[in-house]
Amino acid sequence: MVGSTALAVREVSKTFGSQRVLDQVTLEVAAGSVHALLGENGSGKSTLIKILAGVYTADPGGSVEVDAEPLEPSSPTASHAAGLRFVHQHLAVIPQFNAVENIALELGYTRPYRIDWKAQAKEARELLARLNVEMDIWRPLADCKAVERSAVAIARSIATHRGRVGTVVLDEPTSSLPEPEVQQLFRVIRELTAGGVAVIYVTHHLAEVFEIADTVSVLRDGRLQGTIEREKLTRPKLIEMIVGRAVAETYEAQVADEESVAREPVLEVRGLDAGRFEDLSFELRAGEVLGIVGLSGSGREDVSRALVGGVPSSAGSVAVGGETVNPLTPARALAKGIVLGVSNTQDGSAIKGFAVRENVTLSSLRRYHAPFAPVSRGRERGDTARWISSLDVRPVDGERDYGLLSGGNQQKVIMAKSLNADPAVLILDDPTAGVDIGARQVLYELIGQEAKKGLGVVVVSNDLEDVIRTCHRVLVMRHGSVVAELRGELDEARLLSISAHGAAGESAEVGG
Amino acid sequence: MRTAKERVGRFLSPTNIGVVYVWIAIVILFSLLEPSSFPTSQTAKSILNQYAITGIAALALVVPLSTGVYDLSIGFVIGFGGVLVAYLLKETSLSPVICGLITIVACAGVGLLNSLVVVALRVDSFIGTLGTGAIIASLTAAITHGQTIVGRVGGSYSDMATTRVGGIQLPVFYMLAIMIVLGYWLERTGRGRQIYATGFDREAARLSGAPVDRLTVIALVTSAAVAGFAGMVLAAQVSSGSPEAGPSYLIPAFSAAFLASTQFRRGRFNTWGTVIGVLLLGTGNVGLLIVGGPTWTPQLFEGTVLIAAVALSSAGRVAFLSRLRRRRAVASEPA
Repeated sequence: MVGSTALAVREVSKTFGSQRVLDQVTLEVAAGSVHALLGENGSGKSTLIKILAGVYTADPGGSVEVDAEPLEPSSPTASHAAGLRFVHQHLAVIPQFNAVENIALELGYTRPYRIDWKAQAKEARELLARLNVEMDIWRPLADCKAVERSAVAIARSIATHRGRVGTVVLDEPTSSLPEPEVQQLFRVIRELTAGGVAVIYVTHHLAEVFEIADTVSVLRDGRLQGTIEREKLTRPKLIEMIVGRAVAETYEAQVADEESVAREPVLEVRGLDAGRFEDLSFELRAGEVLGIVGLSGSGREDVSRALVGGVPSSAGSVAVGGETVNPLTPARALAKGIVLGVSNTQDGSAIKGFAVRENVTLSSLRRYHAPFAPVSRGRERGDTARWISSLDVRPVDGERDYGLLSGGNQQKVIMAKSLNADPAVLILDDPTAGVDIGARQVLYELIGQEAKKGLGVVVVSNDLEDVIRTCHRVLVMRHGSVVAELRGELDEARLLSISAHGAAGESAEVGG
Repeated sequence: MRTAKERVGRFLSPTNIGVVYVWIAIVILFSLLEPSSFPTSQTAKSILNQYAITGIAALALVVPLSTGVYDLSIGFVIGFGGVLVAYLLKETSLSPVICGLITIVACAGVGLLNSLVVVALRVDSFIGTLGTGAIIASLTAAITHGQTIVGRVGGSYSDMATTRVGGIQLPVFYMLAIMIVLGYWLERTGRGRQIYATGFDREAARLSGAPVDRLTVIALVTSAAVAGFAGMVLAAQVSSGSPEAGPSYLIPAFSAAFLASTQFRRGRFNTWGTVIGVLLLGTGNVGLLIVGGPTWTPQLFEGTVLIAAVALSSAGRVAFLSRLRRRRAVASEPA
């Protein structure tokens, strides 16, 4: 039942400082339809969602209209009153609580004193029934299926007693769902739209778009690339809209020729089982840059930590220079020359509250003091100053608290910290997350230079540009295993397609 | 690069050393109230002598707190250390030095028990050390049968606490020595750097190669050994091993350590700030007694000072951050 326009975004722009992250975006979402919103990281999707949610105010000139009424002023309260609801990737449910408790927590209690659990349960049942979901409402969500947790979060969002619900925004709703439960979630979404609610569906998974969406809009670099009915959409066209150029085109890689890469492996990973992946095996040669990609939930997230023992492994081994790291712990791995640099958007990257200098030398403290002797701050300052100037860290102050730096500068400090430990193998996880184009270039060049000097590098990334710009070879992960290995000319469209669909179906549809 | 003037200004700002200003204000206040008896070297010595053991107890806490774990057992370990040394002196003919060494080793063993609970069994340190503290309290009661132990502990052994050098008792020098050794260890050595890193962000420290579990064990053993030493000094000072002594040191020790962490070193627990915190508490309490305050005033004072000093430093920090933000906004304005 696709009806009138539930939500209209008209020429909305958003500028942060001198950077325009949204540029004249216009789109209309019909009531009772699923409108998919796609785009790479940094394309402006989340900024647009935050404007809808009233977290950000759009630049003057544009407007957001709900049922032909302009949404003003922009505030979370106004957005809620206009009938916009948001279900985030992380759901914000309390796992120790059951469905009734979680729903009651959001909606309020029917009685101010002793809670009337019968009435609360009735409300929860009614909401879930509207989505045609049957589940044990008294079981803690931690013990329920992942899709049931999602259903509770969605059910909670569509309660009407604080106003009519017109549009629900689902932000990457399948990222934490196992494959079989995705279909169940789709049934819930269809129930939702059958009731006349518009759904904005944010995702990276192309296959889902073809299954659930009625309309698709693609953002790239803050501009709307187009809005297309599903019937008129083909996969290559969609990929081209997302990536922004003809499918065969590639970036110019920063890396050296394959010939300059050594013959002998510096890192050997054999049958490693850890976290959400299993049986990971590969070899890395000195001077080689290897990429590992995969959508969220593919197991990629755990790889970088597992390689240094930061996530415990249940089987397999990691050897560097022919010697097995045993036991596999971060401290042992560091001593053998495997250094991990984790992006500042994740836990465990660097120490906020430490000066830049203290972070730069954190993994290489041994070099700065004799046994039982004090750390030489003079030498620390000297090395830190060199890194600051070679990586162009701003401000130029090694004593500045690392936590006060901007995201891009934090990433540079993390890189300095990793390289300052003199690694034989460098493992980078999302090295350019939150980094602007200029700093990105500096980091890519640095990876290329270090590889030419004989460093083996593993780049695990959510951002395909990272691996395309730096890697000789890429492993693609899906459902916890490596499904493809690509060499030579790397192509974003192909990587995206294999990540989403696996290696088998990809070749026929995208071509080469 | 910062100029020397900026550095001095930053050092002297209330955000950095608010406690010192509070301390000076207290000294001036009491000097005005009791100009004849308060501002004397006698008062200063008496504050130092009375608060040296509190100082050692607070220093014991600095190491685990820097590592990001609580050690709530130290009060009980102080009691255990004092009772154990008194018991050994009474029941054996070992020399006082040997008795002391056995006591410190036994208390370090308590640190290993804490490590077992916190590191191996993964019990939250706040709960775990509360539990081990109760176990140690029962051990103390078992040794003493609830009675105060006297005997040889009142003999030449008590010289270790009561000997004076220029009117200042030896425990003050122990406190200063421990302050210097632990301070050097934490702030100057590589291990110390790793300890602070672990306390700020355990996961980042671990992934950066710091042996966080081993550091936690080292911290808990250090705090228990130092607390045991404080107990030995206490027993020597009062010439007896009392099962009641010990736990009362916990709150002032925590107050002083936290006071120091909000000051001096941008959120780092530190030894010399902790000693200043203890002396601040001591000055207030002794001053209140001199002006004839009721016996319940010291605790009122301890609580108030803790809150005031922390509030002062966070107010300063908020002002500083908003100034910084404004400056950045101006800088990023397009020309």
